[in-house]
Amino acid sequence: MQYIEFHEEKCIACDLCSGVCSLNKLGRVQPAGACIRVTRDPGEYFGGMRCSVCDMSHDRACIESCPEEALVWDEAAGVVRFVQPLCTECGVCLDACPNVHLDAVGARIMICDLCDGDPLCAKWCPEGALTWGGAS
Amino acid sequence: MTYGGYTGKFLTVDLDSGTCGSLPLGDDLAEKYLGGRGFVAKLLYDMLPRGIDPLGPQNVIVFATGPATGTMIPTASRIAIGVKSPLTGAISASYMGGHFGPELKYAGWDGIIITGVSDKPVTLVVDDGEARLIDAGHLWGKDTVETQRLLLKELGDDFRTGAIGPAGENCVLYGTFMHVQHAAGRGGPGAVFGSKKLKAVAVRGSGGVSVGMPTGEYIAACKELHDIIMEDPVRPAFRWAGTTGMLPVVNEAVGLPYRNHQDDKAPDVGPIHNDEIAKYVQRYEACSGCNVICGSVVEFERQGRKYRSERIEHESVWALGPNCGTVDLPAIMEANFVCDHLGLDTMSAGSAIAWAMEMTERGLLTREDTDGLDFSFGNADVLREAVLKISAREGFGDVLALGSRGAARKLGKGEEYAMQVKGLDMSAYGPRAFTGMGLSFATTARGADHNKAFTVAAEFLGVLGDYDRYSLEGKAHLVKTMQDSTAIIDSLIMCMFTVDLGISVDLYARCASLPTGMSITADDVYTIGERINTLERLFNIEEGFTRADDALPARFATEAAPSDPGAHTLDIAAVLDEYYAERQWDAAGKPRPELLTRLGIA
Repeated sequence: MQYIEFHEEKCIACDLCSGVCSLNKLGRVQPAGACIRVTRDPGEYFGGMRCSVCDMSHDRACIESCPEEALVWDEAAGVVRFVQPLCTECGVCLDACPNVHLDAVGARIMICDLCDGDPLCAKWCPEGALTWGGAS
Repeated sequence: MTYGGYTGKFLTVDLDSGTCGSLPLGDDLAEKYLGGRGFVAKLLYDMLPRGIDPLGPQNVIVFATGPATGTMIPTASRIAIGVKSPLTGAISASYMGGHFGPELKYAGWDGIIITGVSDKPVTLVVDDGEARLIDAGHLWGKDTVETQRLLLKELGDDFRTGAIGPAGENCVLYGTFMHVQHAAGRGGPGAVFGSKKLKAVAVRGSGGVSVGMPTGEYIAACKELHDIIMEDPVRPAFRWAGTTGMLPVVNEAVGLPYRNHQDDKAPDVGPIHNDEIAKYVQRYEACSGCNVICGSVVEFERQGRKYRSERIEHESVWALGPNCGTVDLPAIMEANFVCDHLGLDTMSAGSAIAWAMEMTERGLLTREDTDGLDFSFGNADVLREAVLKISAREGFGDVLALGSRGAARKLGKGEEYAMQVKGLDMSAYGPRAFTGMGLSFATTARGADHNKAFTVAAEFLGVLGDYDRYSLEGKAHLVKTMQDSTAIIDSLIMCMFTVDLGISVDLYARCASLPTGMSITADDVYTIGERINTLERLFNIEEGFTRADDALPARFATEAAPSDPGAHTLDIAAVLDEYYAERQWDAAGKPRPELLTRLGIA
């Protein structure tokens, strides 16, 4: 199973990952609406970085939680797909898994789909803090 | 607003009534002034009555992003904070990196215009389209870092924050506004916040910024720009050394001011070499959208006091170090830390202390004048104590809180040892060694700022030309064109470091065109930059500034740096007419009517 791996010690908080992700997926730069979120641990001054992006695990809790089949497992690609017309915006999936995100502007659920095999976040990370093992 | 890259509106905040509103941004303003510094110039010129007290209720604070801010254009994280400067009385825009500017954009605002004065301490909270003022009584008196920590706890850690410290509250004339440890500092915007009782600003943006071209094309174009920086041979120096890598090189070239600019070379900068600073680094830090990565977090201690902070920058290590005759790195870093926490500009603080040191050396100040503090050059112990006193405006600190020139005027002596232009203290490049910097210091609207035409790139680093750094030949033209192109960098807003990292004027034009969808050429860059510089000049002239204010401290024309074997001096008056002619200003330094017509200012 392939997913974006995060190497905390290399992250420099540039937000290029969430920037390019949102640009690619939403057509606008909107880090808060991206499939990947990088935030700082607020417990310490200049604390460590945390990354939240689908790791294709959690027993697919998002899919299980959805009452409407708006989230489905794409076996061939090995990723979760969001089917917006079926979404009722109930928000249950957001509670089911911390790696499920919301684009508040378009009321869209955002889950990493590895950019169809060429994840932009890993490509744009200037420090190699995000890596991807290659084709699944 | 028909262009991409902008949100199309400014948030307006009236502290008198406590109300917030919205001001649409017109195409005309975007086309003529682009953003950032250009917006600050236009808005302050139009809004401020002439001759106001910068610390009075009529001053206006303008936060302005640019069209590139938060759009994936490399390094476009910065935000400008404009005020009529309390330190200089001139127009002033200060900049800070980090994540605050993009967040404001994502909240739906190109900027904020703040008017009036609050009767009690307040924090401005901008939560997407909603803005409100909340009580900040419990934060008043707290330092910048503690204030921001408490705000995040109160509001949620997905906010981006900025705050003034006690120095700003006490209207120290070079008080800063700090976002984390990024300072909008020079010229003292923090003092204006203090005078308005505006303690902090917190922003959260869940929205986005659209750009003026198809997504796929835009991503590819931005990647090209990022790759240019990534592959530039100079980048590893920034990535590893931060900004301090230049320091030993400039010192070796006899261009690093030492002991309040009496000399241009410190005997030994080994102890403050970037190799030494690097030993304290814990992790690297970048601003939003940046792959230069000049920042890092350090941990150090001094006399049993432990610190965790952002790594010290070039100008700060110089101002509080060699300029004060010391290379005691922990003491310098400690003073820098205290400045950041209390909210003072490290450069003006260092310059004020260095002035007191030269005054002491010359017997013009005694320990009786300085509350018993020993302002001898090289006394590193006095740095922290002086900064604490300045911030609290206690005793002699109240004198130094006015800046080097203000202190001299208050005491009625020693103005010739105040190393400043228009009241803004000079930077870490000796004008005698880099005459272009000298001309830029003398003529820049906000005063002696090294970042308004960084001619060292062309005079010394060989990046933008090959000029004789001691000669004035060609410098009038060089300074004029660099001031104009820099105004665009400050308006997009990108980071000045991109100048050294392969981003040419053609590419700045591209960085302006890509997000906006405008067709901006290199010629347009110069024209918009010229318009901004000219409007800033008009502002100053209407405030009473004259040709006489375009002058360097007298020492540079008469005394050579003792360490300089060539014994160079610099008389900037010799080139002023040529510079004015380049700018189409008359002999008094006033923009000619035909210039104003050409630029569409009249």
